[in-house]
Amino acid sequence: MTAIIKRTTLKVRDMEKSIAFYEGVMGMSKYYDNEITLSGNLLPGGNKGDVTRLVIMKGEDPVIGMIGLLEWLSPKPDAPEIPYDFDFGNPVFVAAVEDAEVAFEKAQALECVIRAPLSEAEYPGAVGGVVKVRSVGVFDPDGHFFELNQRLEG
Amino acid sequence: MNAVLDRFGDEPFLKRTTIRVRDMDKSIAFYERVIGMSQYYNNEIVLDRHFLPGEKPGDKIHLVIMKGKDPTIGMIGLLKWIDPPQSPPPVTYDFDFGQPVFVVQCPDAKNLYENAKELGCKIRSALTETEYPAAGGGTVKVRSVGLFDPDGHFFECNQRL
Repeated sequence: MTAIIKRTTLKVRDMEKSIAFYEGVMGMSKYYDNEITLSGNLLPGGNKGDVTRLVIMKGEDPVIGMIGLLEWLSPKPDAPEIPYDFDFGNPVFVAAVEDAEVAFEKAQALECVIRAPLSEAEYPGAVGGVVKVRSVGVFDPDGHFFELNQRLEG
Repeated sequence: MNAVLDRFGDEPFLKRTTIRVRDMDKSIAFYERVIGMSQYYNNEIVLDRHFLPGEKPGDKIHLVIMKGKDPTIGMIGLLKWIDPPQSPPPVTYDFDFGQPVFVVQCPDAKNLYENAKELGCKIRSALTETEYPAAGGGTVKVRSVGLFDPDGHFFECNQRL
């Protein structure tokens, strides 16, 4: 039995800022936008009656690789300071881009926190050999790290 | 442009979500036996360019990438720091700012639940049924299981009814 990971959902502080990042830097579009009242049974950290807004952003694929953005509307949580780190429990998103320089410029235009400007590197490939990439490392507005890789020939 | 980029056009696309793990073998067992994924990549890498938050040049990591049905997207990277060894904090089993929730579509929620119990996973929510507003109007009915992987990442596993 193979399950499909359809999306990764993230708790966000400011929905409009997050949407701007996923549209402007990641080129995604809104697939879903609804207010949902939680049952309190399923999601950790949610209580019965909590009101949330869930926006799902999709890329080219209509089923998988989506990002869910979840903002608590009521009660409003106290958001901690953003650590801009990659520690246990934090995700890193790895994305393929056609042009890392363009992605970098889009992130700069949106005033994203940049961890690593354009750099090139080689990694061991999945089936031997090496993979060459040009990469940018940026954070979304809530400090989730994105590694944006452009494949280079070779 | 290569064949993969042809498929997705010229926009960026998310290939995988990478998470830090405490025990690689335990994590692989979860992603293979509960989620049904298989190993796509397994290598040790020496970090050398100040790219990943928290890395120092010379740090050595073990990266395993698990793939599902799709050969390009929806993958999970499992990353364990080998050198220097890490002292991980206790697992929180929560969903707070900075933590991901993985939403999974499965063919049989009961079967997935049984597999998770057999592996000793921490279960947040046993089998339940619920309805959500659908993307195109109307409602979606699902049978769901809520559980955690060995490092406390939450999985909402939904079977469409």
